[in-house]
Amino acid sequence: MMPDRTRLASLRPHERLRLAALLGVLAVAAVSLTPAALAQDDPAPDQTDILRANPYDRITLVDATVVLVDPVSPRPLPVVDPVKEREKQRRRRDRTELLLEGNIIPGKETKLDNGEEEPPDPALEKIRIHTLKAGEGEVRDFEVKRSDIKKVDYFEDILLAESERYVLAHDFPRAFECCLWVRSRDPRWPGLEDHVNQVLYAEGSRALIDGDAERGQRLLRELLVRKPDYPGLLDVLGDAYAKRINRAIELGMYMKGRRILGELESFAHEATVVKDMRRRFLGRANEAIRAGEGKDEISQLDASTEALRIWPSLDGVEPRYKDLFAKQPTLEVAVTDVPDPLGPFIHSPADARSSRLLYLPLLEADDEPARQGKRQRQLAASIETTDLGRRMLIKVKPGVPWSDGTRSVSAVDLARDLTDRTDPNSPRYIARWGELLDRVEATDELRLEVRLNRPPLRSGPWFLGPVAAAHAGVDGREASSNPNRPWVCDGMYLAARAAADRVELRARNPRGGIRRIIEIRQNGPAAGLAALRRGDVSLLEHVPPDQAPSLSREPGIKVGAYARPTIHMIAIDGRNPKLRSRALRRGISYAIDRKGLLEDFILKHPIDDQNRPADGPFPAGSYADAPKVKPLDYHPMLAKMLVAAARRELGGDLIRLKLEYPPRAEARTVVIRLAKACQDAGFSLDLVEVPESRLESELRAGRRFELAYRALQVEEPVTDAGPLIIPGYDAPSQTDAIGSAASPRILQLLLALERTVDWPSARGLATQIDRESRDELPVIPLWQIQDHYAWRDRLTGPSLTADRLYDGIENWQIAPWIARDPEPAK
Amino acid sequence: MKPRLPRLLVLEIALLSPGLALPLHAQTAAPARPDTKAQPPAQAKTPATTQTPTPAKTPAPTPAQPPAPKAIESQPYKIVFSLNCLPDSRVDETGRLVLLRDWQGLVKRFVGPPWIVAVEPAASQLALVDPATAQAQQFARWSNYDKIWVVRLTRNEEGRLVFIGREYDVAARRMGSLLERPCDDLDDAPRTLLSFTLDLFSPTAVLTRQEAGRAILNVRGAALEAASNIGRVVSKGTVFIPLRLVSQLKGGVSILRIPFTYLQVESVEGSTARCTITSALSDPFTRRISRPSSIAAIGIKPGRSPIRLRFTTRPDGDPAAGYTLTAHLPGHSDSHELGSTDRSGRIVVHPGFGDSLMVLRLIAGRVEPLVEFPIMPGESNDERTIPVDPLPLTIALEARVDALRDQVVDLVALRARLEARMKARLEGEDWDGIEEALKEFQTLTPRDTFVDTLGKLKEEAQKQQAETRRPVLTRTAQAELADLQAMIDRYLDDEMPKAYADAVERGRAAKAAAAKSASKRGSAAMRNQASSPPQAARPAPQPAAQPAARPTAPGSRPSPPPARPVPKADPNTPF
Repeated sequence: MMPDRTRLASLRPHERLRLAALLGVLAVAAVSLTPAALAQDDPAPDQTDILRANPYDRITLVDATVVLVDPVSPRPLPVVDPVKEREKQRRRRDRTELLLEGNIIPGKETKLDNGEEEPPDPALEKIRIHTLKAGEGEVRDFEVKRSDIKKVDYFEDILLAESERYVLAHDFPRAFECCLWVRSRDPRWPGLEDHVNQVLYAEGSRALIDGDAERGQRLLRELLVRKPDYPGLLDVLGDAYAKRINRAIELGMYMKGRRILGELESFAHEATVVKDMRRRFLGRANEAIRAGEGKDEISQLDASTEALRIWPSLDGVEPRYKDLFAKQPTLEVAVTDVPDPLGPFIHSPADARSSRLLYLPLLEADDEPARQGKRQRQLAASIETTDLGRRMLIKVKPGVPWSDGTRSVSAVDLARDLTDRTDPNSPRYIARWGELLDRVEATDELRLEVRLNRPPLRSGPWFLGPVAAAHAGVDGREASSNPNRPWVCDGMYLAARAAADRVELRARNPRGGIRRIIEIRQNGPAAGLAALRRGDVSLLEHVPPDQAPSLSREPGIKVGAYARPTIHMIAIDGRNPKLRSRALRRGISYAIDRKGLLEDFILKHPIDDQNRPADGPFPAGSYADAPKVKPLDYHPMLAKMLVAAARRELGGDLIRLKLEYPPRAEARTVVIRLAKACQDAGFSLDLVEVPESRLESELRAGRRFELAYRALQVEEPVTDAGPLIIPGYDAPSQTDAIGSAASPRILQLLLALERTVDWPSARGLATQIDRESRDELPVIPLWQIQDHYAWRDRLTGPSLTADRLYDGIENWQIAPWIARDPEPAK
Repeated sequence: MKPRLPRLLVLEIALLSPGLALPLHAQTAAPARPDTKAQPPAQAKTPATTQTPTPAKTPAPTPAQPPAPKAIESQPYKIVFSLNCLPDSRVDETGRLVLLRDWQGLVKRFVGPPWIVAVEPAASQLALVDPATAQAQQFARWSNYDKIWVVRLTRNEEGRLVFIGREYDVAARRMGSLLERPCDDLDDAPRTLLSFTLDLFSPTAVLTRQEAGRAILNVRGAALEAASNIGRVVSKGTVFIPLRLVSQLKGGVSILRIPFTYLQVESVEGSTARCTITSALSDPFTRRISRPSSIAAIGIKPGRSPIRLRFTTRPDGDPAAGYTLTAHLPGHSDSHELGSTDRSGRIVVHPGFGDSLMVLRLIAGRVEPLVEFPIMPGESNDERTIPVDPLPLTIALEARVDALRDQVVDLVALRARLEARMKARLEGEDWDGIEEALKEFQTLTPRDTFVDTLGKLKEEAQKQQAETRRPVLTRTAQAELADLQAMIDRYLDDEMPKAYADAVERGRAAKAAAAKSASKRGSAAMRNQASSPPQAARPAPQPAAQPAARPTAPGSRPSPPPARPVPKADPNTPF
């Protein structure tokens, strides 16, 4: 047994000594290894998972004995022909054998080995092996003649064979891992490249079949780079790209389709499928153009916009589009939700946003100039208050026409609107107003007398909402049998179309500014951002808080902030006996790590004055925010204990609650974490996503729920306190909506606040509500966030800070713009 | 021997209330038919239901000499019954007659003597009366009967046959509850009608006396043996509403209902029913009445009318909005919520919230009862206004007590957790660990803070009570304060941390002493070169008062503090 000479030479003296001692031992142990000697119980190493096994080789001896050994060296062993080798040995034996007639015969060349023949290669003669399995104290190291070895299965080959097996089992990650291991051992191992290609092809094809087209194409493209002439590869890739392009076209994601087509062209520009796909795009674009032919300007503009969206370089369309756009400047807005239904009432944040464009309020603002009729965008010419505020004489501005052209706004409209708000069957019903109003009398066409049951704290907030036409239906549409009844409006815009995901408003004034506003509901916050970045929309109503800083740095995009922070909270329905449990409410509150969730998942930066955990229903900085209120702590241990106590209190059954949330970025981000926190606390939370308009309008109508995520802006704490804490505060009494108050104490304070007639008492009560809400938990306050909106710079006019999205829209301008494909990277 | 109504009382009733007195003479003077002024059929020995004869065909019976009036308990009820099968019931006149015939048979079998029923023909004017909107004036023509039953057979919204009807008690001049009973099969209609009429029937009685807080009623017809148990006039659980019969100066009797008062039969002995008095009034049968009066009673059963209540606040009469109304059985504490009052202080309690007499309670805040009164479910559709004192100061006080209790509960839980940790450290002789936990303990709100706050709350409430001269420290508020005080006293003692601090001190001292003695022994051993047997390990020092295992959750009851005796079970645990 001889060690490798080169390695031996590189050893240090003391290592040589140790090696010599070892060799001494081995010399004793190294016996002439025969197949029989190795035919002992030699179980294989754990081969259940070859990827976890130590490397080994498998040697099959001539007597079919299989031995697992440490990987042999060199790898692969020089090839030995056993027949030739045996012949060679025979000849060598012949030379060394002493013949009977002697080995020296005069005149003849001796047959003895004269030592001149080249010594045989030790590797060809025999190899040293170290068996992996042997009993304790048994010999493990052997020298084996090559001639006794029938076959050597190298570990690399075993891995590649295993890789094939994994490919057949569709376990591609492991198949690839096998190949990677072979590469790490010897990158030039014979057959490795072919196996890698095979794995890529199989995995890519499988991914395409499974519908993961993007991944499949990526893998096949990698194979294309490695081996462009791989059989059938181009066909498979072409089909896959075509499918993706077709799908993108069907979904209206033309830019993405064009990008995929560009990718396809990059490696198969002459392929038939490329030409087919180009034809498809052009056909679709031309179809869009044809759809607008012979129609009005707006239809033609929509057709041109659509055609350019499909194929931006469509011949001759761009000038036409710019011309039409100049006539009908259109603003497309990505919104969290559109009003549903659209009408002269405010049931959701979307209603509040849009109704100001469609309907003029009686008062534009709750201030003295508005009462004196000095504000433009309102119906009241003046409001005189007498009898300590219980009697109001309202004079209506003359000459404000309704959109249907039938007549102008008159006292009758106001009278009907104000009385409709007292009718529990009307969608405009407001319970507080119903209790407050005594009677309304139109003294003449433009004068109205309103009498109240008691002096109100402030009457202004009741007149800030939209006023509907008396001759219109309860839904604000023309009262006729026409199935497409138009809305009757008196605002800057009129509603042209309203669907579940899209609302179109058109300006009533034909000159200047934005002529059309199209609000498009986005399927999630990411979609809204993507639409803004693509240029499909010019204004984004709500930017996820963590995206605002990065978005503001992007070229061509500006970001503005809403002046008032948004309060996020979980509303509680106290009609559910479980949620009447104070212990459970406290348990939920303790289970929420407000600061952690806000910093880690919503803001992705530390909290600040504008963005911070909430301790009550009113935002910090508001006069109603009670000072020195102890923050709501995160205490999972106490949460667990309180939930356990609530469970006992409620009979011991598992507590299961349903949390409804709108598809806002913040809500979507945290609800899963909230559910996890609740599960840790000992109860389960079922998450249900509901469109924001539907959720808010149903909650405000007094619909029963359990928990609901709400994000609201507080304009006037005294007025907004009730609906903020109890969603159905203004709902009809049949729904028992005020019974949904989880805390009777807070409900009493809210009712007392409603009846307060002096401002200091009202402020005191609002502060008291904020303070006591910390302990009573009528809602679970989460955090307050400064919301942002964003717009593309082709839109000019929006300010960097605004109370509402469309503030100052009468002065906005928008330029035409086509979303062109980016230049391909060189 | 059947108990008889005292003659004097019978006369008194006869004088005060002609309506009630009429039955006393029923045996001799049968009620005249409204149409013909004819007398109703004379009472047979075994009373049975009879079809009222048509006026033209029935000759007027010859009045007999009036015998001595029977005692009230021996008088049957003379009932006129109108069954109107509406067209949607798809029951024609023949079907109606068959139904009535079968029903009469059942009445005879199961009720027998207590009822004498006259069935009105289909064309009777009584059939035109809608039970839902029936008024007393509509029954004036049938005043010779004791009871008038107006029943309609129709179909409900689900398309099922349903009997809807109402009783009018002539003597008490009182409409009974509107009742409804569905009938799944027309073949089963007679039995359903029997059950329905049994529900309609309300016995009448006179209050004979009060005894040990119970009312003793003499029930009319109770001495007549019913054909079966289900036909008995009165049984345990029957509810009566008391009526005060006040004789007027100008003659006649006014019948006044004693509000929010009910009598529920506890036991029946012969014709005498012993009843519990459930009333919102302190003395419902007061004798402080200027005019001569007596008390009668009429049975009442749960109806299907929604109960309409309106609560107002005293003294301003504002609506009592946002208060919770609960219901429980009399004498029971388990209540269930019925809803909350709306902005106008109203609440509509739909029938079916109870199948017997219930007690309603209006609650402010979390637990403070503002008013409590008994009511029969579905009794009447009329709105009743109930003034309440909203106790704003009490509610505010209780809210603060609740907040303070929450803090105490949290603190108890945190202390329990720390104590468990200290106990584990003690067992492991980890003195540093205990000290660390003790330091954490020091950061918790001290007990005295809660004691002071609670004391201030009490003082403030007493002061408010004295200043406003209105109740602030109500019984509930006092109980809440006492509970919280008990919780603080019991769970927030300072002995436990002191015990652990002592244990640490002693443990450290013992350790130091052991080390010192070990070193001394070592040097002595070296000096003496003598080996000594190894010392047994010294036991870990224990706190003077070993703290008992504390609960880990506020929900579980904490064990008592170490040095205290184990207290009895306390219902005022944090949860």
